[in-house]
Amino acid sequence: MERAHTRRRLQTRATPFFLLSPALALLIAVAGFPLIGAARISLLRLRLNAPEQFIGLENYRRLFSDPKMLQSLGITAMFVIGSVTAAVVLAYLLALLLYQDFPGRRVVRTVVLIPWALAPVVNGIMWKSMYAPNFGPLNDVLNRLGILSQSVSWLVDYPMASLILAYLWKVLPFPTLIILAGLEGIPRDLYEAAEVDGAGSLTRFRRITLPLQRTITLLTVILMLVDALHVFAVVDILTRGGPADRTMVLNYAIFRTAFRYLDFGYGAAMAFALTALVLVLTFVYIRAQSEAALATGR
Amino acid sequence: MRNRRRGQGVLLIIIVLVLPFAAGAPSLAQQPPLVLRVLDEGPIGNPWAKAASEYERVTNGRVRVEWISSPWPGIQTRLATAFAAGDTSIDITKTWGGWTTEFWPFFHAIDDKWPASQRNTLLTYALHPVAAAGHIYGVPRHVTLYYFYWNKKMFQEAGLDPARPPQTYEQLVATCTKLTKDRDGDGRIDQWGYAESMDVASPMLNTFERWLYRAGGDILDSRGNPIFNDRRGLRALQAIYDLIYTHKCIDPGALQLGNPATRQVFNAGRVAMMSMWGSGWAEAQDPTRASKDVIGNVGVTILPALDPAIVRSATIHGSEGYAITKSAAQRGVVEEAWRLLQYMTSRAVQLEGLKTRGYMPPSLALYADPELTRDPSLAPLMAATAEAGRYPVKRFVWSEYPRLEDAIESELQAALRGRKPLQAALDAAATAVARILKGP
Repeated sequence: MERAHTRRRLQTRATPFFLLSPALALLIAVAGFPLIGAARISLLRLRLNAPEQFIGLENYRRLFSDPKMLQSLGITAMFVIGSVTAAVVLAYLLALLLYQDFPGRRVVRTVVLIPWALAPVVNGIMWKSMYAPNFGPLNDVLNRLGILSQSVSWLVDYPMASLILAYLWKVLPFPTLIILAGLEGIPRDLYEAAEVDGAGSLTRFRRITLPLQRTITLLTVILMLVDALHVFAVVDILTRGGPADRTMVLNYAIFRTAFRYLDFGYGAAMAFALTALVLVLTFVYIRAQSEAALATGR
Repeated sequence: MRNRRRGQGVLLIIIVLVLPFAAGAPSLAQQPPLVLRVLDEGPIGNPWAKAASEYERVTNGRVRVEWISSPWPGIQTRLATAFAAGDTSIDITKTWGGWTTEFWPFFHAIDDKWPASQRNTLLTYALHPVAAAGHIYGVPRHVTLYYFYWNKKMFQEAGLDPARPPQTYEQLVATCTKLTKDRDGDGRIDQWGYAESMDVASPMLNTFERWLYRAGGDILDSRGNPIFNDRRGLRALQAIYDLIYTHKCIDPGALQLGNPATRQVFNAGRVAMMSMWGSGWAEAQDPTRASKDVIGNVGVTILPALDPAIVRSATIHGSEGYAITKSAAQRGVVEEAWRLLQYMTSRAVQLEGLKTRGYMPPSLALYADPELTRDPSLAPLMAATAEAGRYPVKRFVWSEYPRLEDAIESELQAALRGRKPLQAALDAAATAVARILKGP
């Protein structure tokens, strides 16, 4: 009796694993093996024209002494902080605008999505011509408006800001959509009650919207953070990490090391460092938010 | 009755089962086409892709060419990943000196197919893209060098002789300054005297090289040590810097211009002179690319001297070609790949490349061909190519080329953006290059 009970209990516990096994097998095949392969490569001195050589953690040690890597980290931090901050702030503004009732709201909401639907490469090419020094529309418009007296070489003089702007234009609809969905979930009667109590729009935003959007904001920041750390296409097309490596974000530096310099081992180690960075940042942010939520009792 | 019906049914089933085999019998006997996979740009606008497609027809479908299309920078990445992964999907690849130096262990040497007598029918520098470590790995398809272009109409408007392009640096400065102007009087310069591509990886190293060679310098000495930071290197960099900032006749925006964008501003009539590949000539004749004030008003010649006492001119002589990979040898298709390449680089295809895209042919005989030398749309370019051949400088290539290129370009950009003194930038680049050459 006892044995039958134990067997049944084991069967019950094993069933989910059994049902999940095909998906797990697929996941291991498409994600696990390449990851293991990349981890192996990161422990090798693997150059295209030289025999592979096991060097243990040497590639990881090199990360800490490589001035280019440290420079790249700083540039990545600048890009991520700049683009994520701007993305969240602008997304809030845009979402609040789209949250309002106005004629043609549905059309505007659809139109706002267009940049998101564009292929990253198309976005890069489009901004490359926008920033063209001699015949680019940006210089032309600013010249005609009298804002500029001479054309500006955007990608030479302001490479990081230009990169962030081109990136933002493409990704902004995504955080906007998430925040808008969150706004739609807030009961409207809360705002009406606050209005009756004499709360102004800023107070309503500060006291109602922001606290109730905490989780959504956290999610948006994390998603944008991860996306910004993985920026590639716009860098490849607009600056290729230049001028003078001033936009050499980590993801592009990994590509350059592995596929341009053909230093696959070190490139793989850099890629794992980036992955670790993403995981740590996400963990720290979630922890900080949880503590903040606990402190405020939410 | 039932048996008869059953018999009919069985017969019908047999017919249904056998018919497709019977119908397919001839095709079973037919050999499947031999597939050759070519990695290159295009196929749109690529005369060699068109030739490859014609070759399929010539062989009556015996050979099928799969064109693996990739933009220029993607080809190197594609080759690197394919060779690293042991992928055997590329039989023939486009190459140039840099890639051949980098990937030759993965290419199949075909020295036996290139007897010396045949090599002598090519321009001296034509074999650069397919030669490495003392072996030949493929076929050159066109030679590459930079020329000097000028807009004769703009010369005339500025009171300059349209038949006399600048031949020295001093003349270039004087002409360039005179041709830089505010045409519409709104206080902004809308016509620049001169343009060269200086964008990152455009490649800017090529621009520096051209000035460096004219200053009598070189990237490395005979022992492989960097020497481009000596007085000649400084002079070369100073010449570029001065054109931008001292004489103010190159738009500082040129630091953001690649080759295509440089051609665009020249063809739009916004720049009076430029240094460019041979494609600059073809595009300046093309009504879909050049404005009507540019078409028919462009001259082409060799680059002006930096100091005539050193050398009258210098350009970067190189070429592009096709290499046959070891994968092709493993598949046993080298002979067929060679035949395809012979077809793709035949006289007719070289001529089409020249006429439609400005790709200079590698065959020596074509430069003496009266049909071409008398053709007004080609003669100036042919003459400039022949004259440039009197001052040959091999384009710099090295096995770690991309790393060296990035290290040098990064410092050149810093210098030309005014962020670093020129000598300091050159010294920093030389130190970085020495470190790379020393190895890990």
